[in-house]
Amino acid sequence: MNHLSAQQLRDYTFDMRPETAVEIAAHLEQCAECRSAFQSLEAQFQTLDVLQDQPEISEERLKAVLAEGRNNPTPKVIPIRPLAIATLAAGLALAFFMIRPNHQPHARIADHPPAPQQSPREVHGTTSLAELRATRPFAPASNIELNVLPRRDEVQLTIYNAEDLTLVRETRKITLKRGWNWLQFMWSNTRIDPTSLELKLSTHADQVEITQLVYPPRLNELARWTLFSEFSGEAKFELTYFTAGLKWNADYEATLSSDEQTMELKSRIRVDNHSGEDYENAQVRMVVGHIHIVDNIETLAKRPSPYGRPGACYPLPDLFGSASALDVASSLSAKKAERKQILKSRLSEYQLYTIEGRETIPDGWGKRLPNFEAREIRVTHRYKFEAERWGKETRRFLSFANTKADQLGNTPLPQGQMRVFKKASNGGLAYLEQAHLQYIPIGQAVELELGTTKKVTVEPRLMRTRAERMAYDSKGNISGWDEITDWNIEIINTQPIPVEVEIMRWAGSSPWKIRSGAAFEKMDAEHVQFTEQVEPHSKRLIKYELTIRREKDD
Amino acid sequence: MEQTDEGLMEAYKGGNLAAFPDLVQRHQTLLFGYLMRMVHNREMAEDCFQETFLRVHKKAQTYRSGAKFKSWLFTIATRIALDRLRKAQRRPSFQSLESCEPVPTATDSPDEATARTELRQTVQAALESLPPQQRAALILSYYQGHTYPEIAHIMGCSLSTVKTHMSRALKKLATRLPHPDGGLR
Repeated sequence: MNHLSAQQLRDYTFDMRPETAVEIAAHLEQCAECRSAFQSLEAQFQTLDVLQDQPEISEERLKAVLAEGRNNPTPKVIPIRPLAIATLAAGLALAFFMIRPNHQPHARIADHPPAPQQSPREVHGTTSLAELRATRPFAPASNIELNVLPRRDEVQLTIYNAEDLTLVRETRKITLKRGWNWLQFMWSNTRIDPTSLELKLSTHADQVEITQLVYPPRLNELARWTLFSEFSGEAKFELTYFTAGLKWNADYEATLSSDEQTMELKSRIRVDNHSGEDYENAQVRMVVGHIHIVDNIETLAKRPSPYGRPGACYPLPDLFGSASALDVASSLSAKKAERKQILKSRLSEYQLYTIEGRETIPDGWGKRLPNFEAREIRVTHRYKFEAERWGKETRRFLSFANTKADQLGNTPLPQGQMRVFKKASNGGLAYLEQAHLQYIPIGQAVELELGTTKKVTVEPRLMRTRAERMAYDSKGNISGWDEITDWNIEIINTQPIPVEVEIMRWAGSSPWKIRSGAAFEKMDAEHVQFTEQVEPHSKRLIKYELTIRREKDD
Repeated sequence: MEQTDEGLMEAYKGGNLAAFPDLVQRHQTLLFGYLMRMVHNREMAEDCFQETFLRVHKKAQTYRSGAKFKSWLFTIATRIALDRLRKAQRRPSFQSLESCEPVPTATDSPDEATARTELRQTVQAALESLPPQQRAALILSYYQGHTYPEIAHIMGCSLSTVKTHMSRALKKLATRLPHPDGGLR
């Protein structure tokens, strides 16, 4: 017997093919396997019942709906005559040409009819502005009066990598009616800090007044502005706010030459968007440098409602200046660059990176762009040994300077991960280590720790201990002496290049002195450092004598 | 005897304003429930609800005498909801995502309430994964109890199209709805 397919069972369950129902019912009676599959399917689809409850519409909205039916008389049927048709067609054509030049599908706020409360005089704008202003609404009577912010026309992101903070600056076109307007902004499922919302007019600033921003109770993640407009038509707004979740990071790829005397450095910038919001066609700018913020944006964004919070008070620099950065970006995007450049400029104590042109960074996406490349950067290798800090291991450090003399020095280096490779003699690459690069201002040297190495070893050996210059108290007991230890430090360099090794030795907290044929430097009250050059594939031996004055009570 | 929906609509069309609140109150629960399942967003569902009755009011004169009022109402609501969903897909970022909060029953223990919430979210996500036309067909059939010919009338398509929508919706749901013996299959 052929079993029923999953589709046949679904069709039977949902009565999709009544003509086969009898046949399938008969089969189910006989076939236990199909019956079990059917029962399982039925049980699965019964989970749909969890949404059977009937949510109630809000009373406020129901009242608004009922008011529509009550306040507006049912339209009468007007017989349409040929003249009326011609007039209507002319009117429609005129309206089309008036609206068309500025028509954008996303720029129109909401294609709603005028609010029912408006009288015909208000619609035609014959009511005086004073009268309109006097009838300031406490709240929108219904959503019909609400303008939802339309799609943004332009957007600029300024991302600070020192904090989880991005300043978003958008422009949007909104069609306003004469009189009071409500403008609604929603930020559900995003990480926008609602306390930082700021709306400014880019056009018609003298004709539109933004009076207040309210966060309606019980409506989380929503804010409404009230605006009084002296005209009907389209106005351009600039909306700024802070958001969390956008991050940028620099990463570096350093390739040492085969003799390890120079290196090539490639830097890339990676921008990641986890803000919950898609940013399309955005100008992306990144700020290098530390900033101070009072509140963490992520925490502010997670607050259920922004009530009771004072206005935003972030001591950020004016990153926009007098010239519109958006205009600059527009001109940049007009250039046909084969590869996008990252333009650098100084801004007070910060450095500003601007990605040429515009980028679309959807939520959850990351983008990596080339930053700069430099060649023939002189590098110094240093090997360090300090038993008290690192035990018996020798650590390797790579140094270079962020200066023009070293092919860098045009910009501070933002913090990021650096992967270090070495060119092999056969042309291949060998991976050495990954290190974290801290922010490096122009002119400063950087020292990268590349981890431990077995290729340069340091082994201190205690050779001899003795006591001299005994002192006695009045009873003839020993009250003090010099403890003298002889040390040998063997350094082995198995590498084919010369290396410089720094060896830090702890001398103790009691008075001490050192004698040695090798050069050394007293670093502090308890430490001394030997610095030795070791030729390729060779050994060096440092000998020193440490004398520590001991007292009886030590 | 209680007046039928169609009688009320005829009365309203004839200028009896008192018929309008009756029509709203009779259908508010069913219609709002339908819209909530369709758009899964209270703000948007309320907008659709309001716009539906605004259109009933404005287009009253186009209501054909003898036509089933409920079908006409759901035809309008479906068009509005599909239109809203289409627009929301084009600009998703600033639509309210306020979800339909689950309604815990009085007998739910905290564990049961949590399980119920999770189940509800899974089922809701499964419904939301359906394309709007398939979702409309399924909701009208399963939750609103409309017959397939009625759904074809409401959606303005043929009976076979409705069945195709249903068939595809059920196939997809079978992979997304939780199985009673635990998990998804």
